[in-house]
Amino acid sequence: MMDRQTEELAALYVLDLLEGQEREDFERRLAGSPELRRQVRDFTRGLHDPAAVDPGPARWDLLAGIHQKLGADTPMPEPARAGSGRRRASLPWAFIWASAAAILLLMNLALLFLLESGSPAGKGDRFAGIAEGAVEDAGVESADPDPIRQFLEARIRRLEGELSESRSLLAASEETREVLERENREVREYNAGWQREYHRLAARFLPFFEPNDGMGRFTVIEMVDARAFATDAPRRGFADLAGEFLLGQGNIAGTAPEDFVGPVAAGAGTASAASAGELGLTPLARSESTARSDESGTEPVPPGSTEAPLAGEYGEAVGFTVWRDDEQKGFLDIYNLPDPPDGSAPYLWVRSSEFEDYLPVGYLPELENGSGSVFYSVEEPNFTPAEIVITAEDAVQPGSEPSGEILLRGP
Amino acid sequence: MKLPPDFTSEERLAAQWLHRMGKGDIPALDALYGLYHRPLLHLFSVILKDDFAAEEVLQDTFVRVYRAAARYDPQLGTPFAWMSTIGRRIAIDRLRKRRARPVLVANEREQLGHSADIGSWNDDETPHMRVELKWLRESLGELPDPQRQALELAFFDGYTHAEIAGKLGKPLGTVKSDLARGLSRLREVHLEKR
Repeated sequence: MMDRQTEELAALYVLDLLEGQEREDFERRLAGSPELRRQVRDFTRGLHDPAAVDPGPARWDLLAGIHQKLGADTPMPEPARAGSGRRRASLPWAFIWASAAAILLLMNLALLFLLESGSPAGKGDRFAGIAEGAVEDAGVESADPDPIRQFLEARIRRLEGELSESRSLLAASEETREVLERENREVREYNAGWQREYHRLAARFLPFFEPNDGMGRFTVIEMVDARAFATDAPRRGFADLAGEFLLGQGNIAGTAPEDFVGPVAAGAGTASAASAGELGLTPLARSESTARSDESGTEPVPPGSTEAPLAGEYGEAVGFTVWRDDEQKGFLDIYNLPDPPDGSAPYLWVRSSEFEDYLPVGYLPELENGSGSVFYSVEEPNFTPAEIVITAEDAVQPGSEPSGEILLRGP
Repeated sequence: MKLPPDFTSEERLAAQWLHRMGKGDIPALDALYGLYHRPLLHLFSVILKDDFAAEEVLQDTFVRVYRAAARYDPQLGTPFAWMSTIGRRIAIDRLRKRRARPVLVANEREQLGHSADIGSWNDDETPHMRVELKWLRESLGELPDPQRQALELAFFDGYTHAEIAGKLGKPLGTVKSDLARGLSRLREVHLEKR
């Protein structure tokens, strides 16, 4: 049984908190104590389990940088050089197996041909690299050509089987590679779409949030549908992105992303900003809600453009809000809000960290395809939202607290 | 090379690749990279909360692992634990340098710990990060608060046990004890989940 002090030292060692002499002493003890080694391994398994991690996509593109840093003059594996690292993981072995099996098969076929064409096979001869002993091990006598032929035929059959298996493996690996490449391409396109979305988004809300005193404080909350909220599904990252854009403006601190584009849509937010001081909701006019624009890339939105974000492109019900403390007003951007049940309408509620109850804000204006932007304010001094929810409430008489189906919720 | 009997087949393979890397075998490095780069990259992203920095740390980790591979001793831990310790050290160094820089400006109304506050959006508690940390957070969540807090500060934030004691206002011995008990419990949780 290990004493408590040793166990604590093992914990510190696993957490990499032992340094200098203390660490050296512990490692010496470790080398001489199987029990202590087992304890350390037990601790590490709870903390470092690669299988417990949701690992995300493979990043073979980073391997070249490692080779470069190592100054390795060894040639890069072919697939990595071609920029398709996944191939390297399976293709070479399949190919090597297939080649080896094919060569052996050809050699044995050649031998069989020789035997059938009457070439003498005397006692003590060696067949295609098969030692005499191996033939005898197979339960045949090397002096008898028929058993030898049987042996070779059996071996050829086995090799044919292996070759067929290798071919299948080769085909499967090619197929897998194609599928992975296609998936990668789709993911890249998907990400590029969202990237465009972010840029358009920044262009839309930055004019509204451009600070006038250099000390604005913002709260950003991302919203997802009820199912995603319940399962704690990964967020789109709107909140982080919006935060980046805001920080990038220099109003708080930080460095702008290199490809930062806003604010560029002159006047996009001014009309609604003027009315955002009023209580309740003011829809921000937008033109097409789902314009897919492949040619736009990440180019800045031209001044005066009112082109809306790619709201409907991916069909996900998401949203986010940016709340400006010093002006006590918020910007809400929603995508694909589900239709509320008949007789009800989407209603916005917010809650601050200081109160348990949600504050009613009001019905959302009608949004085209469930997507659009809204400015809102709250009748409460020094309010900062900590939670936000849109529910389907009675279209005529909403209650004093959220009671209908949750359509979007955050954070 | 003698391997502990409780190594899994994957760990045995990884240990052999490390052994070959110690002799300058680049394909073994590639193979090990294929096996472990994704969980390591994830871990560094969680610690640094910066994908680009995490990628750099991943590369530096494999460079350092390659150069130190001959010193890997399977008796002292699994290959992944050894590699993640090396990488975590690099990541924590970066984190400490970053901490030394000026923090984001906060005005008098700033409330630290506000879950939706972008002023502290590097905080682990943002919803986005909560999801990323789920794999370990779930297990940590099953620990008593003192053990969880101590482990989080040590593992994710790279604080020393003395710093943790200072931060939590506890005696050093209590922190050490919390860390050991926390790891023991984490191991139990890990076994239960497998």
